[in-house]
This record gives sequence, structure tokens and C-alpha cells, in this order.
Amino acid sequence: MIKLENVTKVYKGDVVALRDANADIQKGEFVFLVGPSGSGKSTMLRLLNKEETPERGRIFVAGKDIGQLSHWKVPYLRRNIGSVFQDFKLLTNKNVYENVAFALEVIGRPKHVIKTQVPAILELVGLAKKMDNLPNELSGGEQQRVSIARAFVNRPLILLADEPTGNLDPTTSVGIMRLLDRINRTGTTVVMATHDRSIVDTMRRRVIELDRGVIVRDQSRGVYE
Amino acid sequence: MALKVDYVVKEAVINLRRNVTLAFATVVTVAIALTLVGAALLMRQGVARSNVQFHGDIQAIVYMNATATQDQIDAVGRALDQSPHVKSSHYLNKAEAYAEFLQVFYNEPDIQKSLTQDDVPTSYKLQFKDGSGEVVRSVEDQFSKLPGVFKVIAPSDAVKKREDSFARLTTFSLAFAAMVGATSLVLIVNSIRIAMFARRREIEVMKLVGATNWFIRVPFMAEGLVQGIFGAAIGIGLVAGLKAWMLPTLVDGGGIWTDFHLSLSDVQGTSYVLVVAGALVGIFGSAVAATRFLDV
Repeated sequence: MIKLENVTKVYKGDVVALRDANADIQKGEFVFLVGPSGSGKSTMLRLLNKEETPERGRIFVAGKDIGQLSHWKVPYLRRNIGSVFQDFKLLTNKNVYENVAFALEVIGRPKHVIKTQVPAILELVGLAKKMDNLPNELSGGEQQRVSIARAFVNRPLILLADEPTGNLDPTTSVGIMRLLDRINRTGTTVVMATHDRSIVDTMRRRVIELDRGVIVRDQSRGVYE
Repeated sequence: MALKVDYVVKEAVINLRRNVTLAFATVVTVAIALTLVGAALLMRQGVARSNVQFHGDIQAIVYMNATATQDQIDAVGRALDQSPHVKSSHYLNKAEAYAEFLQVFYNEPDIQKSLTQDDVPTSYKLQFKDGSGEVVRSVEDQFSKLPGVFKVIAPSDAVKKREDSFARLTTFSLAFAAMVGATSLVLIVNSIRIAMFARRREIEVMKLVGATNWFIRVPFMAEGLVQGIFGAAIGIGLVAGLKAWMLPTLVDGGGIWTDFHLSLSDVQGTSYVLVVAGALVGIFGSAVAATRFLDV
């Protein structure tokens, strides 16, 4: 599903964010990216949906070399990749329903599809009763659920999560992880960057550890350290 | 992927309302630029209309009597060929003379109907080797006495000055229009950038979930288009107002404005030009702004 071949990413000022990275992630896998701040976790996620392009190496997503992808095809790549962030990136002037529906509207899904899929996904994340609330009327955990619903409503093949529990307390984080696990069980490949030791140690999934841009460990059913 | 019209309209209206002051400034600037363009175009048309007989550096016209015989006409032609002062002469026959007559009185159908082609005097149009006042007067004296000649006229200095004045006025207003036009383009670019900046979170999410650049761009281009067309509409109003209220005063005042004619269809024709120009400025400015913002 995802394959990195000798991928190197250098930012301005010769900051090497990723050096010669190789990884092969199968469909339906759940992968943790761990490592200290600045080790290249976010860069790796940003490379996967082509927010960044590597200086060297090739990246395959769903069998396609995304380095060869022309500019105008990038949106279509992103329709197969859901993204979740630490800061949720919700639109504060739209309510829960509208935030999720927005993701379908802007890729041109017809209204009747939106009307059935949005309530269904909100049911899945446990927010069916809060559809009309604005984001600032929700707790952090609830806001993250909305953002996961938005990322998943189009049933992407891959879900990228960049420290999704970074702003949440441990109990709430467990709830979010249950949700991501559930999404993973539907066959969606999940790649999650995290600092949360207890989550990684509890879940016992594949762990890829980065240190200063280098993959130093790739372990199935791994722990944080 | 279908881009829905109601979506584009809704988003463009939201942007315009969010940013009313800048949108207003932009529209007014577009309007001023297009008013100047419109005024320049109309001055050009009006002055071309009123001096039609003397176009192409014609320095004098010898009008024959409508009843002049062919012999008389030929005699005048020969005399002109022999005259040391005349560089060239061109004979306007009945059909050509009638066509010109219709053009001169284009907006006075009563006069147009009063004459038929046979009633219109034919004429010779002259260019002099040396067009000084003395030469013109001596030619005038010589030829007005020939049999069959109705009269000889030369454009007064006033007519020349007038052509020059209008040429300067037109150039000036076009130069000014270019400046204000550039300003209005910059304002459109800026107002679209601000609109996009105000919605950068939405745009970020749109890009993240796979909206195409066109999908993101089109509502902003619609906003620019609306600003351009509103500006053009106001510009057309101002141009029409100038024609309706200012022009009669100017014509009454005389000077270079004597005989300045503009018809409603002139204003109409110009207004199409202004609408197209406004639309292009709006679309172009917003497309530039949107493209630059999306690529960053």
C-alpha cells in the first residue's frame, strides 16, 4: 500500500528531515511512527500525501509512484488519504455536520450521498447527538472525533494521523485510539505519528522509529522504546 | 467533477460581504478607469464624426453646383491640375458625395431625407504643396469665379486646432485610464488575496481532502468577475451621465466642442466594450491572485 525507496528530504538551509528512508507498509496495517521532535515523523506523513516532495528516492502509494504524479492529479491522490492532526483543523464557523459534509462537498459528491454518509459516520464516531454543535462547544476529544469523521467519511484507503492524541488527556486518548483501531479493522491502513509511550506499548503494533531523519528501528508488534 | 453554480455564487457572495469596504474601493476604481476609457473612445468617435469632410489632410474643397455641366466639371479639374499650388485633387462623384452627405448628417434624418443623390453637389478635394493662408486664399479666389463652381471652402484654423485638442484629450484620458486601470487590477488582486487569506483554514482543509485547485479558485474568480462587472456598470452609468448632462453644456459653450455629435448607439457600443474590459480585468486579476496563493 505504501512503499518508500531511499527517500531523502532536505529542507532549506540543509536541514535533513529524512535520510535514505526505506519502508514497506501493507494494506490494512497499523503503523506507529515514533521518535523525538524533529526526527522526521511529520515530514514522512507530509511526503505521503504530497504536501512535500522528496529530493531523492521514490514513494509509492496504492501502487503508484507519486513522484510521477502531475500537479493536477494530486487532489485525486488525497481523496484516497484521510488526514488527522493534533490541532484538529476544524472550521470554527461550521457545525459538526457541516464540517464533515464540507469534505464531501468540495470533492463534488452529490447532496443525497452527503445526506446519508455524514450522519452514518457521525454515528460511528459517537457524535450523532452533537451534529448541530459548533466545534468550540465540544471537548477536545469530541473535536478530534469530528476531525476523524471528516478524514474517514470518504472511506479512504489510508489514514494519516499526526499526533492525534497530542492535545488530549490519557483517558480521552484511549477513546480516540479505540476509534482509530476500529477504522483500521475495516481494512484502512493507518499511519500514526506519536509521542505517547503508553498508547504504543498498549496497542503493540508495528513501530517505525526515527532519529534525526534516519529510520533506526522497524519492528512488528513493537513498543515505544 | 461538476462545479455547481449555486456553490460558486454562494461562496462569492460570502466573500464579497465579508470584505465590503475593499470590494467597494475596488469597484469604484474599476469604474473610474472604465469611465476614462469610455470617454476616450467616445471622444474619438465624436470627433471623427464631426470632421468627416476633412479627413486625410484635405486642405480645401471646391463644391460644384448641383446643376453644373460635365464640361464645367472637367474644366475645373483641368485648372486644378495646372495650378502650381495644388499637390493633388480628388473628384467626389454624385454617389460618393451623397454617401458623405449622409455621414455628415447621420443624426439628422430630416435633412438626410430632404436631398436625393441628384441634388447633392459634387466636389474636388484638394491638397496643397504649401498650405499657407495666402495660397489657400488665392486658390479660393481663383476657383470660386469659375463657371459651375458653387463655393470653395477651407477648414479654418479652428478645425485643425480642434482635431489636435481632441487627439490630446483622448491620449490624456487613455494614459490616465491605463494608470487607474493598473491600480484597479492591483486592487482586485489584493482584495482576492485578502478574501483567500480570510478563508485560509477552509482552503487548507479543501486541499487536504482533495478539492481540485479549480474548485477552490473558481468562487474567487467569480468574486473578481462581479467586482469587474459592477465597476463596468457604474462606469457605463457615468459615461451615459456625461453624455446626457455634460455634453450639451460643453456643446453650448462652443469652442472645440461645437458640432460634437454622439448618438445613443455610440454610447451603447462603448458600453459593451466596457463590460468586456471590466469582466476581463476582474477574471484576470483574481485568477492571478488565486493561482499565486494556491501554489504557495
